[in-house]
Amino acid sequence: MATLEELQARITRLDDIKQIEKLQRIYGYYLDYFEYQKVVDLFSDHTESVEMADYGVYKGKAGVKRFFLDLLGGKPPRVGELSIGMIMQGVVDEDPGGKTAKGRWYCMMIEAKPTLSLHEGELRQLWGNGIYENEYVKEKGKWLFKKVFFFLNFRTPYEDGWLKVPVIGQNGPSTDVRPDEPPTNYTPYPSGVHLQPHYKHPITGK
Amino acid sequence: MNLEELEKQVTLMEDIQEIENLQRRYAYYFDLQRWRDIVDLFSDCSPFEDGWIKTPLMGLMNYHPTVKPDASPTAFHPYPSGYHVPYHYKHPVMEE
Repeated sequence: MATLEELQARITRLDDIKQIEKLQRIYGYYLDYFEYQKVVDLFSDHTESVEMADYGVYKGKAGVKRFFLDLLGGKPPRVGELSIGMIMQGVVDEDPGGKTAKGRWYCMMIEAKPTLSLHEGELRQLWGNGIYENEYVKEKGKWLFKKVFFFLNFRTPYEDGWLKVPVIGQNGPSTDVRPDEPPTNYTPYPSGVHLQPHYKHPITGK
Repeated sequence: MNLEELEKQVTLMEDIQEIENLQRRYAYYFDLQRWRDIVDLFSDCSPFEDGWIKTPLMGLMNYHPTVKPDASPTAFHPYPSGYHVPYHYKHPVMEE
């Protein structure tokens, strides 16, 4: 029979996974409501980086603020602007020691957004899909984002679809709010690039 | 709740978490077209996954431990031995 200490450790691990799942889902709701300061506050002060699609790599907590507050939140959302990003199928794996973790998530997007640039151009109805491979860190008993990486698979007009128009509205790194580094893996459909999972196979260990 | 009951409850929660992860990892492997990895997520004990090529025989106990036969089996050569049970009849036309 397990000791009390062993059971406490196992419960802590389960609790950690639930806290991380909640963090990831809360993030998604804040992002959809354009509440970027609340998003920033979910990141560790020791954040490694945030990188999404073709915007490039924003490093550190300062980079997180520039990306969410200055770039995405640079202009208030327009009437009719819509973001519904369903974050699903989370696989969260805690690292040994229980202080850091990694998670993989799908994101399915239904949007009405400008497509000429990030904030300019008429609103278009969009379907989107991508994968998060994120890292988390536990500080003072709370789980925070340590690294966010979002691989865009497609973002297509509702009327067209991903076979006809795989990506619209992605125009490369901003020249106003410049990233620290260029995108590390912007290879949307139909590149055939597969974003490999952070985890090893649970049975074979490969 | 005593320690034994608590462990049962924790094990149940861990099992549920692992099964949820199994199902989700399976789906990611499917989308990544990593078929070998999907196969390795299946149990070896699922008869529908085996079939006669992988596991020709299972569940045979050889001789019954107490009800012994009078003689050994006369023709026990299952697949893939290639053994064909002989006909008792001759060919109706060729008579061979």
